[in-house]
Amino acid sequence: MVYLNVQEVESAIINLATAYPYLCELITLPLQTHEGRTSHAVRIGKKTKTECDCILLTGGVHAREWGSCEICLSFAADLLEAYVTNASLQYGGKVFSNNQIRFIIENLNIIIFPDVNPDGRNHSQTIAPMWRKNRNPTAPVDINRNYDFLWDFPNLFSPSANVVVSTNPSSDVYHGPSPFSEPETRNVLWLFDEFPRIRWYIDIHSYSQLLLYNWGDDENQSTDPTMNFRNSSFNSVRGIPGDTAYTEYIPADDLTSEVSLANHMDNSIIAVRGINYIVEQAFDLYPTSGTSIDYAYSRNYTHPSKGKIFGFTIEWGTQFQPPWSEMENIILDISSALVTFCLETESEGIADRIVVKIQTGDKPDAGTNGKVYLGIGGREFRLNKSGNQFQKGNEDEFIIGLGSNILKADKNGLPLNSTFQDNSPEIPFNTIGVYPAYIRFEPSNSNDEWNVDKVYVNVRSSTGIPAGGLDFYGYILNEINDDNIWLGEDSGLFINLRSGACLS
Amino acid sequence: MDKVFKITASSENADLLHNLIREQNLDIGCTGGITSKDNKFSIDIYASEKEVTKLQEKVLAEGLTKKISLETTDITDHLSDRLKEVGTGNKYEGANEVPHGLGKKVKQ
Repeated sequence: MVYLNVQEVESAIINLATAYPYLCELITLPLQTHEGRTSHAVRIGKKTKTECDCILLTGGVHAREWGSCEICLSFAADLLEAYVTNASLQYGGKVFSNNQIRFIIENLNIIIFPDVNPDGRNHSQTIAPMWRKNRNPTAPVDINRNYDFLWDFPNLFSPSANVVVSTNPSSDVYHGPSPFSEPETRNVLWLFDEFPRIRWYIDIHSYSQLLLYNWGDDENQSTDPTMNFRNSSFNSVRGIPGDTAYTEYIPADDLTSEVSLANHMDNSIIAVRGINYIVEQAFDLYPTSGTSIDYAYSRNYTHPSKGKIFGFTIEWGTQFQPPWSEMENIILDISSALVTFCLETESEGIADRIVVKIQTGDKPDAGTNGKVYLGIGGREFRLNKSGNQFQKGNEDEFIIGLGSNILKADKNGLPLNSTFQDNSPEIPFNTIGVYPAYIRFEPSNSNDEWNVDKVYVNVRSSTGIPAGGLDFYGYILNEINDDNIWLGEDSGLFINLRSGACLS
Repeated sequence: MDKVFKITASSENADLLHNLIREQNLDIGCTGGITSKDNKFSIDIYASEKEVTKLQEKVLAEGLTKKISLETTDITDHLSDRLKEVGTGNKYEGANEVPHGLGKKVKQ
């Protein structure tokens, strides 16, 4: 495979929709580009556009970031093929079960618009590889500065702010003559309007190995709702890092959700081949105005009747056009992040049941009478049930929450003195991945050591989805090496757990 | 194809880099912004031969050569090689040519 030219991108998306007619809707975008190209997107999912929430992915916004289109197409093709063949999907060290793929296809809509700026891509792939903007014949425009969010930056930001945007038509970040002046941005706007159940938006860019979330105009804060992009009294002070004159308001729950989703993507990328992306607020890259993700998230504030859309930008790789052999690896990294994102978006609600399976080693003196705790979601649970546990060679199962078998549970079967109380909030499911998951051992005396063979934790959301829940595990390799972990005062007291679905 | 250069501009003073970028209208979009490491700030810039010369002259004229370092790499050949990796024709011409993703599908 090689990088696709613009005709191939359009044909690929059309052919995917044709090949999977019961799972896809081909979307023809309403506006042709300046050079007369018609763009296409595809909506993937068994449910209709009004029946479920939707994720929008865009690629190819900046012409020179070629691989974004291939990421979109490969991701779409993988989901569809895995679903119809009932296959699991593997990206390097990251595996998604067939149930998880089924869950995505049957419970979500995903709109994939792989090449927002085909004129620019064509120019970049034939004449000027470093071309970034569209091909407006009057003055080419940076599509990702042309959205209607603080677009008029000279009047809405501090004069001292280093906002990466320009009124100069020769600049690579020229924002255009007016918001939504360009057909490419209006096509994306049309998708937001036409599909009101879009709740998440990911704009795929390159480069820097970053996972960015709202906002991009100034640092986030969750304490003063009046300090926001609509408040003109802050127009002369916006965009300066490290000051208190202005910071952009984002509700704490929204921020938690965005950071959690970005962290889940990062963990999923790491699992493929060990590459660690940086999760940060878009502003930390540099101050911006007129960007797609901030426009998406701002819609709910400027027009409360429109649904809230959480915005993310993926900046993949370390160069705009890596050799194709490396681009293939990057496609696997980002596809893994996108599948995880799809699973996690529908993982809202409360973690109402945690199942922990612990295998004690089958070795002399492997067992213990010490205390064992599970750390998850930012707190700890004592793993303690009636009868013997953590004995040599045994597997113990502990259930926390619904159907609890641990001691000191309340009348509803939930542990006492925990947040798992009837009609009260428990651990928000989508924050589970924010905190480390671990097993902590408290020996009964200074000579007490415990040999751990295997740990498996499954967390299920109150919504019952995604199928299989969220999994954590520890020491898979030790099954191969027969080299279990000893815990004790001298050996150490913690086992950190990895997230993944390997043992589900 | 005209020559294209990647410049890594570095300085111990981030403001100097900000000023340089602002005054020279340089291409820094999506290149990671100004990053810091070991008390040194740096940023990736993409430029034509003419822009590189102009940038070097400015740094020289303003006596900043000891305060801003410019590491310039000609990436023209790299880009030429990438252009050769772009598809020709249309491999998906015809409705039967269905794309496949790069993920490994493992049948149950």
